[in-house]
This record gives sequence, C-alpha cells and structure tokens, in this order.
Amino acid sequence: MPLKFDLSRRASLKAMALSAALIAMPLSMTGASAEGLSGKLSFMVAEYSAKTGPYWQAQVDSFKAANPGVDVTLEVVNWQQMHDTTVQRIAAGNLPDLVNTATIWLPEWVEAGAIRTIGDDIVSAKVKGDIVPALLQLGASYKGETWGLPIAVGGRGLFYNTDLLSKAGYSSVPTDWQGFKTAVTKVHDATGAFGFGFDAKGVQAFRYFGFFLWNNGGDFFDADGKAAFNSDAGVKALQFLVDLAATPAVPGPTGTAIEDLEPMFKSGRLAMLIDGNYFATAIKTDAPNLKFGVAAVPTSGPNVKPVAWGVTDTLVISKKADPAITKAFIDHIYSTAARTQLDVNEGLLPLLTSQATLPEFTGDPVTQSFVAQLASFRFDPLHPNYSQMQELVKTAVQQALTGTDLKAALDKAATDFNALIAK
Amino acid sequence: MTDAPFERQPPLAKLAAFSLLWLVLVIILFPFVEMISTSLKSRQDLVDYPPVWLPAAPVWRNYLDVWRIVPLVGYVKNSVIIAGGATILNALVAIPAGFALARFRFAGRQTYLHLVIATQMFSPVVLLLATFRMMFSFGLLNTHLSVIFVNATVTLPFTIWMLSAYFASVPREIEEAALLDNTGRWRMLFDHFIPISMPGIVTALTFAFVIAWNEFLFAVTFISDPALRPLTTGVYTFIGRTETQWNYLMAASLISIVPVFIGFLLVQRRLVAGLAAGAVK
Amino acid sequence: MAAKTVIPDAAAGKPRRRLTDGQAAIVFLAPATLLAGTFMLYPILNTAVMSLFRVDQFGHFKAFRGLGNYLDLVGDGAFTAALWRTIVWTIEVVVVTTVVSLFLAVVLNRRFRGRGLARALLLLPWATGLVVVGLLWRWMSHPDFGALNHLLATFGVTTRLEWLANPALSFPLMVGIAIWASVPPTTLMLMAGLQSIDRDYYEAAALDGARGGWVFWDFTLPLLRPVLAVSILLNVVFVFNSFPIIWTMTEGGPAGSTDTLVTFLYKLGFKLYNVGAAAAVSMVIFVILLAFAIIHTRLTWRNVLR
Repeated sequence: MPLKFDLSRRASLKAMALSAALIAMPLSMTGASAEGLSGKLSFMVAEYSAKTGPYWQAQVDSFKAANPGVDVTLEVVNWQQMHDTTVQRIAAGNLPDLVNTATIWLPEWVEAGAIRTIGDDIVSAKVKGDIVPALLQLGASYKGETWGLPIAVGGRGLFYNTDLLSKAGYSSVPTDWQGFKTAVTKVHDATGAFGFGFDAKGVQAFRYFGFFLWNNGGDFFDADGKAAFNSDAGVKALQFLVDLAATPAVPGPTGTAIEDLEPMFKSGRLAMLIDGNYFATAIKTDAPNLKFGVAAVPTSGPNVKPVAWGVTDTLVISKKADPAITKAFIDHIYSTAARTQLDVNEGLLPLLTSQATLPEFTGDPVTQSFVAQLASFRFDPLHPNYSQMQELVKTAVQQALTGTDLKAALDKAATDFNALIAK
Repeated sequence: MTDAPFERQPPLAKLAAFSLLWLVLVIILFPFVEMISTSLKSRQDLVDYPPVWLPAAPVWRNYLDVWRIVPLVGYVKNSVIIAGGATILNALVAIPAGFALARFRFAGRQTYLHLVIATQMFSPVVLLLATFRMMFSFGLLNTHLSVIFVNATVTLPFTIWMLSAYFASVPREIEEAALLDNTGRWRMLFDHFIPISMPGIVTALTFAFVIAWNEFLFAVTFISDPALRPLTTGVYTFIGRTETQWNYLMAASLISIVPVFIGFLLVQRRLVAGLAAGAVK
Repeated sequence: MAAKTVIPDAAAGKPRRRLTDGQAAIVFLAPATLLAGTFMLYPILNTAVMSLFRVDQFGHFKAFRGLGNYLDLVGDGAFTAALWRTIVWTIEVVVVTTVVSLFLAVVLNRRFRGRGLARALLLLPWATGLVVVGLLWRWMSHPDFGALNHLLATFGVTTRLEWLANPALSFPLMVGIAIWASVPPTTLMLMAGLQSIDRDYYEAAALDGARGGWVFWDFTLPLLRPVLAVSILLNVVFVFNSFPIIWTMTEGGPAGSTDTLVTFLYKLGFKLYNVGAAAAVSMVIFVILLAFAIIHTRLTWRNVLR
C-alpha cells in the first residue's frame, strides 16, 4: 500500500495537538484520491462527549478535501439515543453506510439483514492487520462471521481508594468474596466512607451482577442461547450482592446508578466500585489528589479466574455501502494519528498495534494495566435478545434487593426470556 | 383593566395571601438556586463533599466556555425557527378551527371536539416510529420542517380547545351586531373575535411556542445533522456516554431559558394591550 | 373551494349567499383536519393495527394475535399495578396543581408592587425543558451531593435520605416535581381566563359591599369555570401521559414500583421490543382518557358554550 510514513514519529505529541484535519490530510491524499473516487458516503456516529462531533467533522472534512468527488454526510447522534435511532433507520430502510454502534446491539442489525461482513473488498489489509487481533476476531464475531471493526474499546475493573483501604489495614483488594466482604465492612467501620457501591438502577445494572456471575463460573446464556443466569452460580452471585447491600457499608444500589457513585468515589465517600478505564481519566481531572488503583473484581474462590471485562463499540457497514469509497474512508479514520486523537479525547483504549508504544498510553500506570489486558478481555456474549436480557436481569436484581425471593426473581426472568426467544 | 382591587381585602387575609404567594415562589425557584450554583462550579467543586451552595471561587468562565464548546448561537437560531414556525402554522390552523367550534352550530361538533382531544391522548413515545417513517417517505428527515409539522400538530388539540373556550366567552351581542350588518364569517373573525380574544390567543400561542421550544423527543429522532439541532437536543451534548458535564449543562440550560423569558416579558405587555383593546366594546 | 365562495363575494360586494354553519365549518376546520389527519390520525391508526399483532422493534409484523396482546395485559399484575398508580399519580398532581394555580392566578391578577416580577419568575420552570428539569431534579436528589439533602442538612436534618432507592420516597417526590412543573402553565391559563372576566362584575360586587372571599366563590369561580374545565382536562391528559420526569428519576424502578402506564409501555416497546403489546397499552390509555374526556365535557362543556 502507498502509505509508508513513519507514523509513530509523525504522531508526536506536538502533532497530536494539531487538528485531525491537518494530520490526516496527507495520508488520504496519497491513498484514495489517486483512484479518483466519486459518489456518496453517509456516516452516523455516536456522540460520546462534546468533543465527538467536532472530531468526526474534522475527519470528514479532511477526507472530503482529499476526495473532492465524494460527498460525505455526517450524522451525530447522542449516545443515549443511538440504539433507537439505528432501529428507526433500519425500519425506514435508510441505515447510513457506516454506523458506530454498541457491539451488544450488533446481532439485532445482523438479524434484520441490515449490515454486511467485513470482506477484503471493503476493509483494507492494512487496517485489518493493524487492529489488535483479539479485538478484530472476538469483538464483532457473530455466527462465525465478523460484522464490523472495533471503533471504541474500554475495559472494566475494580477501582479502589488507596487511602481508605489502608486506613482499614489493607494494602490491596482481597481476591475472594469472603475477604472482599470483610474489607467492605472494615473500611466502613474504620473511615465512615462506604466500602463498595454497585449500580442496580441504570442500564448497566446487568454488568454489576454479571461480574459476580462470571467470577463464580456462571454465564448469561447456555450453548443454545437460552437463559442461564438463574443457574446455581447466578443465584449465589446475586445472594452475595444482596447480602452486601444489606450492610450499612454499601449505599442503596436501587437508588444510586453508576453516575451517582462516581462523584462519591472522587470525593472519597466511597472506597471501591467497578468502572471503566475512562473513569481513571475523569478522576485525574476532577480529583487530582485522590490516590487510587485498579484491581481485578474478586471471585467466589481461588479456583475461579477473575474476568477482565472488555466492552467495545463496532463500526458496522450497511449492505448498501459503496465498497471502494468505504474502504478509502476506513483507511482514513483508522490511521494511527486519527485513532490516537479519538482515544485520547474520549478516554478509550488503543485498538491498533501501532498505538501500543505511544506515550499517550504508556505514560499512565492505570491505563497501561488496562492496555496490558487487551488480549485477554472477555467480551459481552453476542445474542440477538441481549437488550431484553439486560432489562429482565435488571428487574430481577431490583426485585431481589427489594425483598422478593431471589431465586424466584431470577427464575421468572429466565422464564420470560426463554418465552421471548421462543417466538 | 380587570385587575381586582386588592385594597378592599381585609388586611389579615391580604397578608396571608401574600406570604403564601412568596412561599410558593420560593419553592418554585429553589431548583434554580441549585442550577445557578452548579453552573458556577468547576469540575473539582462538583465532587466536593459536603457540597456548598456557592463555590469559594465561582467559575463565571463556564458561561463563556459553553459558547465555544457547542455552537449555542446556531442552536438558538434553530430553536427559534422550529418553535416560531410551529407557532405560526399552529395559529393559521387553530384560530379558524377554534372559531368554528365555538360559534358555528353544526352536527358532529361535539364529536369533532372529542376527536381533537383524542389525538392529544397518545403519548408521543408511541407515535414516534410511525411519524419517523412518514417523515422519511416525505423526504423530511433532517429538516426543520419535519419538527415544525409535528410540533404544530401535537400542540393543535391544545390550542384548538383553548381558543374555542376563549372565543365562546365573547359576548353574543357582538356576533349578532355583525350578523345584522351581513358581515362574512372571516371578517367577523378578523375584525371582532380576534381583537377581543387577543389575551386568550396570545396565551394559547405562548403554550404552542413553549411546548415546541422545549420539545425533545421528535427533534432528537428526526434531526441528526448537528447543524440543525435545536437547543433541547444541542444542550444534551453535555450528557456524554460516560459522564455528564453538569456545570456546562446547567450554564447552557440557563442561557437557553433567557430568550423564552424575554419573549414572555414582551408577551405580557401584549397581553395587557390586547386586554385594553378588548375592553372597548 | 367553499372558502372562495365567501371571500370573493365580500370583495365584489354582491349580495351574499351565506353558507350554512355546517358548510362553513367544513371550510374552517379543513386545515386543522388535514394537519392532524396526516401527522396524528395516521400514526394512531397504525398503532391500533399494531396492537393486534406481534411486532418487533423494526415495526415488522410477525404474527396476528387478535386480542392476545390485550388479554396478556389483563393477566399481568405489573400492568394493573401501573394502571392504578397512574390514576393515583394523575389525581394527586392535577388536584394540587389546580388548587395552587387557582390561588396564584387570583393573587397575581391583583395589582401590587412586584407583580410583574412575580409573574415572570413563576414562568421560569416552564421555560426550562422537561428533560433538563428531570436531570436537574435527579441531580438534586443525590444522597450526598444533591440539593434536597443539602437543604435538609442546612436545617439540621442530617439523615442521609436515598430519595430514589425506595418508592415510598421517590414517588411522592416525583408527584411534587410534576406539580412544580405543571403549576406555571396552569396559572398562566387561569390568569388569562380571569382577565377576560368582565370588570363590571367586580364593580357590581363591590357596590354590593362584597368582601374578597365572597367575590371569589360567588363571582370569580363560576365565571372561571370554562377555562378551569379546559385546564383540568388538558392537565389530566398531560400528566397521565407524562414521561420524562419518571423516566429520568427512576425509570419506573426499582422493579417497576414507580411505573406509570407510559413508562411501562416504554419498557415493553423499547426495552423488551414487544411493540405490539406496547401499542395495546397505548390503546388502553387512549380509551381511558377518551372516556374521561367525554364524561368531563358532558359535565362542563355545556356551560362553556352559553
């Protein structure tokens, strides 16, 4: 391929400060314009933060400058609306050519027949070769095929406040549930701060249960795609959480979602919570003096290996997309410089091998520890009824926390789920 | 003016009424204290525990920063186009309808009124999918027109009902005098009913305007071109995927209240003027 | 077509041939009918049809269910609970809103120093979009950083109330927020109604030596009835269908304990992708509100049209 600049040198810190347009222009000029592309491309991105829209606009502008024959329309959709907007666009039959979607929704788009696999006609070997293999192979793999490219990668871990833990006599987080529970109460007794907080309120509620489910050897689905979260492992995991919530050391999980727990952690009101790698960036801005670390989420016992949960978003490609234009555009937005700027803006993990050694990702121990886990991440299982599972599991967890018999609540959710997929 | 003279009230009752009025106002305004307080905090102030009402060093910069971070001017312009367009369309359609329902005797009037209110009974959430497809087939996605149409329509039952109530309260003599002169119905509407009912019309259209100004769901569904966003969905930019920038969200929201607030102050004058005109019978 | 027969006649000054009220009504109602027919009636009919089918999130009709979606609702305890809760919610919010607004409208209709300011300030919550309002109150109910507990602490109450964890606290709070959001527009509507009441009535009352309270009960209230009736009807419809407040505060949780029919419907349609069942819920809402509207207008509309 024509691109053989020394990318890592070009992408020095100084260059990073320049706009994406300036950086990316020479790349695509050598790449695509030679082919004299003409046509249209529509691109719908999810707005992660206030920086997202301007970033993609600059990417689109620089692509257009290099490919005057291509008319690119950019749509920016707020993250909270992204799923429903995508559904409506598919229903109306006008899904944009490229869509930034949560990976867990991908089976829905596949089942609706709206998106295609990433054949060689549409993604260059260079891009495929640069993406971290584990992400490319596992991130968007459904029914034996790969349905898109990772576009945003994050990892989850247990954040802990070093000072609060040490006041209770801990230098690290216990690795098993029993030890963990003791630590949670001890921190509360010693400091008055909450020991641990988890979210049973928001859309992420299933993940907090899920961590304990996985770390007890359970899973959400069985091999046939039926509900398995009401297994023995699931019941024990939920029982553990309910018992934790009953102690005064844990704030009411049904009343505090993750966005409520985060400021508590930043202010030193909460000693431990499970969150994404981006939270480390937020802590550094909002509470620069807070000492914290990230550990694995405890498991039920020494025989279970703790899970490193990776969460990705995927760039999916509509069946109607023009292959040549799409290929050129993907080359453009998957350059090392362009990716690095996006990752830094949004607090994402680097997904290209060519980014691994950049100072943006090696400078900080917490980010580095997440980067080191990239290859061993466990991802959300892809299931066409994932959204329904999330909702049913959340309700079951809430029921268990508000006094309903725990096993009955999980069984009910499982029955409902299985009835749903039987249709 | 129809303002009731307060002087004739017994002083104790007057005192009680005023105390209660200001108490209610304090409760109503309390959340704005929090809004202003939050808008003046830095990110670090926001996670200070225990919280304070006013940060030691108020960050007035937040009010400047939001203009830079999001294209607030464009958002305001889009909101004015959408809410203004919806209000005008609404007025053109609802005034004749309200007049007919209040003043004409015809079979099916009750039924029509029921149908009108019935359309209001669908939560917009339900209508979303069907209206989206319709906008797509009309080629109206990512246009202001799509939101103008829908906003004018969702406020229509409301304005028709209010207007017909106001038109109905116009004294019968006015209509009878006009009928004697053999005045046409349109002239009667424009020359007599609209001037007299001005306070009611302005009130009803203020509702249409404010509802359109505050509308979120349709705007976020039909408009994904960032350049066309109104304030409601534009301000939402500060609610990110992983964190909400409360200080900016509140600063931008407070700024976005200002045009409506000024508009209301202007309308209030118009309300009084319309009233004076109506009093001259 | 018919409109043309009226206006050119007037211009030409010919002896006019008056249309009957019925014919004129068709002309005057045509634009409204066209607009509402296109953007409301069609989607509503679409919803009615969907309620008879199993429909997925993309709006694809999967199977005919007849009244199956409705029968499922009858047997669903969560639905009946949400239905009753919605009725309680609506009554609480509308009754308190109406009483408070009536009081404010009457007081703000009097001349006094600072009236302009009071009126303008009252409108502030209304000028703030419900989405931001929901988020603002959500932030205000944070147990550690929120203004509610902060205010309590200022008055010496240091209990750490978890406002949204428990329906016993969260539901009354949300009723309060809905009242807070409904009072300004209702007051405005009633104020406009008060202003159209003829001053002569007050003069006459004053001549009779009437005192304030008496004027209110015997003159103001009866004359305000038409506007009051409309405001109650519209508030019932709005509050019954209200979505953003509950959704941003609790999403109807925990475990559906603060669900109203609209949040219940939203979960069915947009989280569980059972769009047919969601359509059935909206038809139920439709029938309930329509029944209310008909009874309400039977009782009050007669007095509106003198």
